[in-house]
Amino acid sequence: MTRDELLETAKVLPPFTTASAHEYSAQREAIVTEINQLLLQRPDIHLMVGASNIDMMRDNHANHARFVESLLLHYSAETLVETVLWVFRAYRSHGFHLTYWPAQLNAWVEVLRHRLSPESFAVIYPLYHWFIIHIPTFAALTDSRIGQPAPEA
Amino acid sequence: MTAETPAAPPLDAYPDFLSALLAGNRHHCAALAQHSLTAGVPVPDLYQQWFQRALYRIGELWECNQVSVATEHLATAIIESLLNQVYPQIIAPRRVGKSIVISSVEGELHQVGGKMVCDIFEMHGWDTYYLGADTPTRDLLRLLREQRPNLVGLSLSLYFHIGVLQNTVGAIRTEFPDLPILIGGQGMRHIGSTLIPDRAVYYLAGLNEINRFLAAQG
Repeated sequence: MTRDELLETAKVLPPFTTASAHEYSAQREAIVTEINQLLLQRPDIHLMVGASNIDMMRDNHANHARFVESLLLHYSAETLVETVLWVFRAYRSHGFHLTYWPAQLNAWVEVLRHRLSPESFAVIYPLYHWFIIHIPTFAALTDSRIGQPAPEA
Repeated sequence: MTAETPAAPPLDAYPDFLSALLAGNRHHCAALAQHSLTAGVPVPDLYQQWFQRALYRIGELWECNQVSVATEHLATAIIESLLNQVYPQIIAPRRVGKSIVISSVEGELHQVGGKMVCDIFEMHGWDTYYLGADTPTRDLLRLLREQRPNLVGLSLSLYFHIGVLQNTVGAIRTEFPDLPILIGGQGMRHIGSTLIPDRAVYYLAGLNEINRFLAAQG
């Protein structure tokens, strides 16, 4: 799948509601705390993110939640695709393994399912479904940049 | 008799500037910047083609794990010192009797873009109040009451400060219903033009749009 094709899939996500956005926002910090707890309990977390990257992982979780909060309030497919690909390039370049994202995103779904109302979860879940099913695409679109110098402008 | 080889345009020294910046060589960066200005390079061109371009490039290098956060911070600090170096050379002798307050929104730690915008307004004879990064909204409102500017500018580099920007504009609008507001920054480059449906909120996609905005204001 090309970047443009990925963007087309992002453009057809169902719209988010203000109520679900506000509920996510109200729960955001608690959600991030629980995500960190879940992932840090994993015996393989250092294999997934790199031994010295736990703080960077925590930053990613906090930034992910703030980013999703903003998407729910003012959705932009271009910003979503651009940001996700940036995250994959940046974090993989800093030692995160591809195994991290399925583990992380499944944790987000698990936590959101019990922290949000059924109505809000139903509205927001398509975004996380989009994240999960396109992990191979995110990986493929960023493979060529990993371990390579930044291309000249 | 041979024709002299024309000197390369000063801005062609950008690779040298970027290398010096990455090395933390503030002195050489300052000398290159001053040489460009002395050679007649317009300040906005220096800002966009060297300073902004270099900072974006350093962001790409961090993304690829070629430089550290410390190098990014050092480069930013050097650029900010160069902006201060340039400042005395940009103050327009003719003032227009108008003022602008510019700030990064609360929580936004990036501030170089806002400083550059301030300097462009100074070149047009405006008085500018540059607040820098992460100004609490209530304190911004207090300053607006005190200074009563003709214009306020809000900068946002990270998309996830969108909600803060919207709330800040709302708070300004509640107290100052007619105050024109400029918004800009990397974080809204895909959505800036549609973000806030307010006839007096203007999205500027880059430094080169300031002249167009000012011309339209008359």
